[in-house]
Amino acid sequence: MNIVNSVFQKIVKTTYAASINPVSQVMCYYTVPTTPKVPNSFSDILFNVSIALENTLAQIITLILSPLSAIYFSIISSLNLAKRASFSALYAIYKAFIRIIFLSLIFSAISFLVLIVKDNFDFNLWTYFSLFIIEFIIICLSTSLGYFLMFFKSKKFIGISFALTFFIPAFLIFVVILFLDTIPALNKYLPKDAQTFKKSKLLNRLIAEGKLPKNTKNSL
Amino acid sequence: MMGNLSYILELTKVCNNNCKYCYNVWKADTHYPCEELSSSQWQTIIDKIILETKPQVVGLSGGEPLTRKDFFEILAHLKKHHLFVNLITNGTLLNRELIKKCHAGGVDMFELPLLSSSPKIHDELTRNPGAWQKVIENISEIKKQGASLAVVMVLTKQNIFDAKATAEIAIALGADSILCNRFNIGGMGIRYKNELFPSLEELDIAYSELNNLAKEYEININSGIPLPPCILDPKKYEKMIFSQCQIGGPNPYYAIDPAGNLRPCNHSSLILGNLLESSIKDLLTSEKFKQYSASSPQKCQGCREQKNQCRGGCMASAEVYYKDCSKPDPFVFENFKHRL
Repeated sequence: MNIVNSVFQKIVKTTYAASINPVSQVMCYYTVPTTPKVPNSFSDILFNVSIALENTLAQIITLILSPLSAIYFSIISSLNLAKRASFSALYAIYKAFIRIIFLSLIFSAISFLVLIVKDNFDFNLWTYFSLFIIEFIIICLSTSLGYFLMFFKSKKFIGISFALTFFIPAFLIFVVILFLDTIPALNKYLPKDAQTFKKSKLLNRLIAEGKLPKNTKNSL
Repeated sequence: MMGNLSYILELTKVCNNNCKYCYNVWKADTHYPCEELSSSQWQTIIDKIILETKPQVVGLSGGEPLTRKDFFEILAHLKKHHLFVNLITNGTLLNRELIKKCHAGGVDMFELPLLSSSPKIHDELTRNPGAWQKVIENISEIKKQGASLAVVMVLTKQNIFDAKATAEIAIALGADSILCNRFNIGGMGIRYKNELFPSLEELDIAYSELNNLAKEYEININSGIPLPPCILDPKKYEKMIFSQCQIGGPNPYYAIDPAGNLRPCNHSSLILGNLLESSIKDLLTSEKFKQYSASSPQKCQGCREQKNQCRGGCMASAEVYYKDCSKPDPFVFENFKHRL
């Protein structure tokens, strides 16, 4: 029963992550304090990204450049696919998926560099990973819009569009969380809740101000 | 009557700190009984309180409970009965191994004092040089080992200006809750009353700042010492929790001193009787206790806040300071005498 519960939790988290507009949720989350009802793993992704979104340049990259590029590439791709005599929906998804991975990596890398250069942003592996996931989801959603616009060419494009909206992002996050959850050595990369993040920042500030010894351990 | 109760076991009078604000009743009363129970006698008393009253929570206090060589024997006996054990320590005798041993042995929560963000102020208040450094190290270690931690702040005139910075340190180090008590006169504190009583304005500023921290970091910040609305309204600090005096109330906590004497609370010096000789039920139904728990300050008679269990502050502090329960809490009296 625990396993079923655990899997259900993960599915709920990931499906939720994929099926809503991530940006509005980020903003919404940012103004609402964490409660125990917010799953920790998920809330941390949103919290990290909400911080990333505070940066104007990273915001432009995340919210404007990456979706526009995704729509452009997906329309070009879908037009090319639609011209083919043997149109394969699976092949279309595969191709879109590869493009999305590639694009989101590029945009995440740019956002990452912008954040590092502009702020002394407290980056860690998970923060960066969160950024990648959110860019990935935005690009998935944008691409799905591109494919959706092609539905009059073939009804199969609607299926591709839905796959990109719901299935692929949810599946990716599901696999990542499952992977990190399962292997104890990787548990340290599991995100913590937003309050823990705030407390870590407070600890760093107090150390920097000399109110706590430099060797104070962060046990949060 | 025997419902939700808890006990504070004052295992020993010995303490390596010499805190100016210490409320231990024997610090003021030289005639207070000075014997200390053996390990087997404590076990007898523990069995008795469990059999008669089935408490859920037991605090191990003192003095400094870790100065007792048989501390772990007593702890093990408590854990046989699956009680929630709260270790109230000054934090200076702990180290990594001892924390590990306590945690594995069944201490459910560590309660350590952090009096200031400044080592100098903390050490001056505890009169133990180096205490601040040890407390900080041990708070870190406790959280590293995954144990629960409550940090205790005592707001006195000497450290109240620093309350926010002190609480920030506790939060940053991962405290699960902060117990933020205003200085409550008693014991050693009687000698330093003028040095330690904060003003009402200082208390208001400190509580407001702590309330903001409680909101920002969603941490429980409680005050175990009652705050009567006639001097400062607790509702103003909506994120903080202020306890009321529990003597005779629904959730009382009784103190058992190092000699096995039962007292109405750890601030009170009233000995109800010795638990090696009497049953708890007999002591709690005695005339002495009934009279004590029914008393309240004369000036509070007729006040509507009495319905909300308000007793004009801490009744025990009036008892130890004025030797008279019909007077209000000395802090309340100091700040309200123009109206009384």
